[in-house]
Amino acid sequence: MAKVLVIADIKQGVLKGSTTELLSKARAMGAETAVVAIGSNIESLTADLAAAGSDTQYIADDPGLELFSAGPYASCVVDAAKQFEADMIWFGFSESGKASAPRVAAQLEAACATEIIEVEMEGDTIQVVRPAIANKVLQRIQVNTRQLVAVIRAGAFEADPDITGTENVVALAAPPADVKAVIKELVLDASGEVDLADADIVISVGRGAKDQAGVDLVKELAAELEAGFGSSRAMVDSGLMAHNKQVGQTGKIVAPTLYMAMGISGAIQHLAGMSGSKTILAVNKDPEAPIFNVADYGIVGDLFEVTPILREEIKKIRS
Amino acid sequence: MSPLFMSILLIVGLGIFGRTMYFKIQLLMALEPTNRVNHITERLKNLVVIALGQKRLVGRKKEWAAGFMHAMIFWGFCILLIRSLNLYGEGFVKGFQLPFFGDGSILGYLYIAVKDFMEGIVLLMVIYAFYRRLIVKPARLHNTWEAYLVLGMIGVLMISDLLLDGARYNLIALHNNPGHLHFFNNSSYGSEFLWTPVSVGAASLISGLSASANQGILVVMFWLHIITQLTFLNFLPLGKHFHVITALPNVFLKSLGYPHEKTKLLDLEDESVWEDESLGINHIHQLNWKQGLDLYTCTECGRCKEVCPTYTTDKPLNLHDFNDTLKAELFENADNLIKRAKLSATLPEDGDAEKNEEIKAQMAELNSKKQLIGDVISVDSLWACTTCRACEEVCPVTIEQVPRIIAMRQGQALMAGEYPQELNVAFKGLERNGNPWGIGYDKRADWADGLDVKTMAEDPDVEYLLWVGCAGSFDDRSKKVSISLVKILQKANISFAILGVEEKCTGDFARRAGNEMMYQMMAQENIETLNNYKVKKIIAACPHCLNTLKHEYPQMGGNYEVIHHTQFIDELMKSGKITLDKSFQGSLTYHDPCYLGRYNSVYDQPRSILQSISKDGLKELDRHGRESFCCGAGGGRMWMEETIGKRINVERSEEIVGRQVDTVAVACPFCLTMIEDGMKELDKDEEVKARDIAELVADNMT
Amino acid sequence: MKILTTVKKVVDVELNIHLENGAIVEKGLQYVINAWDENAVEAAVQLKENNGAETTLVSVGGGDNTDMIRKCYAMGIENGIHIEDPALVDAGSSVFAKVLQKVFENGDYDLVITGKQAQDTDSGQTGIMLAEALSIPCVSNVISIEVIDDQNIKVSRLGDAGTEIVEIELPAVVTVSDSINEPRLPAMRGIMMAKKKKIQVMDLAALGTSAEEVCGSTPKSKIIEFMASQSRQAGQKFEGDAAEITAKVVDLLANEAKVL
Repeated sequence: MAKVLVIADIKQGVLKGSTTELLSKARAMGAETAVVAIGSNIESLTADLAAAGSDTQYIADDPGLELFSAGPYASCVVDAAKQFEADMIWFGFSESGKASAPRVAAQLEAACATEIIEVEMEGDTIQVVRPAIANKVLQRIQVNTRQLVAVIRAGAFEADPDITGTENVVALAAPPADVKAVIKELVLDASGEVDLADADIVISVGRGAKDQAGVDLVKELAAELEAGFGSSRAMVDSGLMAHNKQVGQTGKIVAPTLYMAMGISGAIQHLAGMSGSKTILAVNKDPEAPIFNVADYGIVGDLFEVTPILREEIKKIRS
Repeated sequence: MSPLFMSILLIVGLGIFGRTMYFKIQLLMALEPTNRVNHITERLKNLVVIALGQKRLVGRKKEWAAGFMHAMIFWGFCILLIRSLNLYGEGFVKGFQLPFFGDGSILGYLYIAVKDFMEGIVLLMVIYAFYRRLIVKPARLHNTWEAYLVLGMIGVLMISDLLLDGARYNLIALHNNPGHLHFFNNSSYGSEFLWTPVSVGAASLISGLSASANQGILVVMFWLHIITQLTFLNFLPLGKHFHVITALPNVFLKSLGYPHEKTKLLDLEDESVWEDESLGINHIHQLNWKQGLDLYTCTECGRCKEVCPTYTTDKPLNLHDFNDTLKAELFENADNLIKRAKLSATLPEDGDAEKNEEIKAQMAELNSKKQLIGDVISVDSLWACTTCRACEEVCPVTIEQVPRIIAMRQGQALMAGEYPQELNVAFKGLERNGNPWGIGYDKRADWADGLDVKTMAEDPDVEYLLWVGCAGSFDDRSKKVSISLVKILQKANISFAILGVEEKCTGDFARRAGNEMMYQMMAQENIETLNNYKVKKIIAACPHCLNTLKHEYPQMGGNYEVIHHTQFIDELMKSGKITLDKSFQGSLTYHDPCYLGRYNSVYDQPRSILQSISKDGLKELDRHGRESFCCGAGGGRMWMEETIGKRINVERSEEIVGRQVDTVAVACPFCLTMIEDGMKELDKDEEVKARDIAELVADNMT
Repeated sequence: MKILTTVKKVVDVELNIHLENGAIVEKGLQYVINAWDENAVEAAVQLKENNGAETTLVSVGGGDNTDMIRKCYAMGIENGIHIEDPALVDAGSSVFAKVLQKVFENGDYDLVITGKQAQDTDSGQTGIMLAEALSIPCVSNVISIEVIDDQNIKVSRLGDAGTEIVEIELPAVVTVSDSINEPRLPAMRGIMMAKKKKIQVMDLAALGTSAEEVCGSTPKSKIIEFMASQSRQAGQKFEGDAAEITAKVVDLLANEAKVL
């Protein structure tokens, strides 16, 4: 039986959903599962870590690990991987994961693969599938090393709602800090905002909103639905939306249950950021807008008119 | 009268004038050379029609009255030249008569009659001019003291001559000619005064005065006239009235290239252009002498401003100021320019590198201290131009603004690397995938899927190449026009093919934005493809492509017969290959694209097509035909942001909406996009639809 | 300060990719500089202009890279190295990292700037692996670089929680995001001068290594097949009275898609 070590995705003291998704897949493949959690003051998350589907929890809890630093992070993962004798080490889709995975692979002399959407066993060999060339093709890759370090794409795996685990904590020694690359300051994204990467519903605003009034209108809808509030590149470029709100190939890649594209034309770069969503709703004045080619439901109309109606109708149907 | 006094006046007056002219000409000669002594017949024709005939003044419906006024003053002046010569003669010899114009011939009498009449007319026109400047105050006119002074001097010239003749009449007719003054009195033709009612009328104003008073007036008016004339002559080179002297040569020497001087094909491999900074116009000394003459000749009439789409939407490009500031810069540097030219003549022929460098260093010292673009002409001014040519179309003295602007842009883009950065995306797209949007070149023919259209690769032996253009290939709205066009060609059974993925952007906008390098790259690639297929006839779906393929590709070895799709459709209609019914519903107008109209003189064919589909005919916009108002996308501006003033396309859309039509026909993909966008911004996109002529025809074919 | 920038030649992702028998059809494809590496080149040139750094680029594999390298010269890069060898034909991130390690060790560079990922693979591993091999720090997804002094730089990085300001002791590797700058279009003068500049071309032997050393006996992973990506299909589109169609869609979202 294979052993899969999942790196827990913890953000501001909260365990994020991708951890469960990865563990669910590992369980479904019949693997023995463990997680490694790295941070400060995270002992309290043990129960969550187990409930997410792990049977062993490797925890590195140290004040020095509060802010992300690739070197120490990777050391903890390597430590856990060696102790667990992991066959596969999976990171969820995050900047920390992307920065650490290659280091872990290099230290373990294992193959490293990112943007993974599928993991399969072909006898004893691991095969992974990943997109390439701006999502135009898929590659099937055969892993020749004994271990695989992988960064899994957002929304690639589904969480098993009935998953359970056992609490079995192994404390990891705190690694030495990386004196050569020191975080001096962390400028937080506006707090209190729903995390795009995590939200069940993400609503993005595009050029159809025209100006601040339009942006605010859609923002209200997002707030009411407790949804993540994202943006197309155009709105970020024009200064109406912050950088970190951009959904797209060069921004955030999201895969929520429901994605609403409000006034977004559907350029390929944007689609690359949200085409993994389960259901897509598009609202656009132009019936020929490319977004309608990928939307499950499309409303041809002016978002200024449609948005308030959407709010009303959703309120009605939810009550 | 007084030979001594006259001699002194002439020597001083003409002497000073000669000296001024000498320096002015020397300054022009110090500028770059250009060959204009060719095609004499055509040049003479231009001179006669435009300059002598005042075509752009009396031939222009707008402001015809003002045009007539100027024409009269001009023709009056021409006619009065002979009179002036006569007066100079009289200064030396009493009773002087010019050959052929003496009292022996009918010509003499006819002349004095016409002269008399014209003096009256000119005086009336001067009064009208004062009225326009003081009361009417048209926006385009600069009311400077110079304008009033000159009008005043012209008035004085007329009045002095009339009173001169008036006094003469009085002395001859009323006081028995005590001074034995000479006058025409031929047995067949009668007394001169029978032929000069206006002078006689002037005479009656002073007939009440004594003989000696009249004699006094005669003498005073004579010398007043001469002195005013010589003063006037010397005043001319100092300001905008220099055009009185330079307008005729300027029109004679204007470029014959159609529609204006072709952009020079720059040799980008030549190393010396980097040292001399002579790619494009970077310094005032890089203007050629004809461009210098243009600056001398600007009359500051402001007609260019009135029709300029950027000026009327509050952008900083003000062509009058453009001319004026360049002229000021030219004059400010006049001495240095002349010195520089002298040094340049001493450059060694034998390739002595050290001497060469020494002289060039000395020449560089004489360069203007001001940056041509930046200090003299503002950057915003330079890039605001849409190259629509409306200014060139209305300029009465045929100044060529557009080639100058493009040459300055070349200097900026190529030498300084400074140009609106928004163009980078378009340039990159051109380089990589042959279209300004940067969309994969392999999708260029996708619009034609399922339409059964051949590519040249499949069948090179077709009669016509349909040049689709980037917009028609990639822009969703324009693709519909391409599809309509194909429908029409297939209905008419025309043998045609497209280049498909082998077609690349013609490079038009790159050239207008001064990026000769990009333009030459695209042109070279396209010409190679076209020549490989031995293409002869091209139907262009876009006026910008049309213009470049037809007028500019020959520079680099591409010679083809190119027509626009509206011209072709018109031919198809006239030869019966397609028939149209008049089923078009609603009211219709037509927006003349700049590059189809002013650049290629195609005004009638689109109209004849539209008349054939619309029962109710066509409503013309106020600014139509040769004075059509630009949509704002030309000159590379399609790819730039418009941040200053009002949007040009909105201005035009407002005009169209004001015409109360439900469809505006266009013939260019840029116009189509800009007008549709303009309508959207005005929230009138449901009421007024923009459609290409090809679409309208395809809908109305039987 | 001496800067090493890596540039990779990738397929132009604007084009359609056709597959035949599990492999990519080469015909009709064109190759261009990796967009993120263009950002890296621009970052290096800006450091040259603002801080007097000396810039070198290195390109590994890719065949004839002359045009690409000349374009980088035109942007302002002063020196160029191209490592080409038959053994590099199917190279992946870890092989590139080993080759780059050799290049780095041959010069005395202070800072390596690479794009955060390549447009053909979107792997994002090479830069980080290089740093790991050299045992020097690496900060990825950088959006600004500031020089503190000869030994230290300060960068901003887009992390998960927000923007991280990190001070790094050189030598180090930095991988850049496209948000860091807008790569300049090379000026004509640069292009003309670039035509005369030389490119140092080396095979693995000239670099002082060998195929065995960089590639190992077997590759760590191998692409065995290319497949068409699953594209989404268009669903239902509604036009008409806003109130009516919106109500209908909300109903479908709740009862058909069950996402509300």
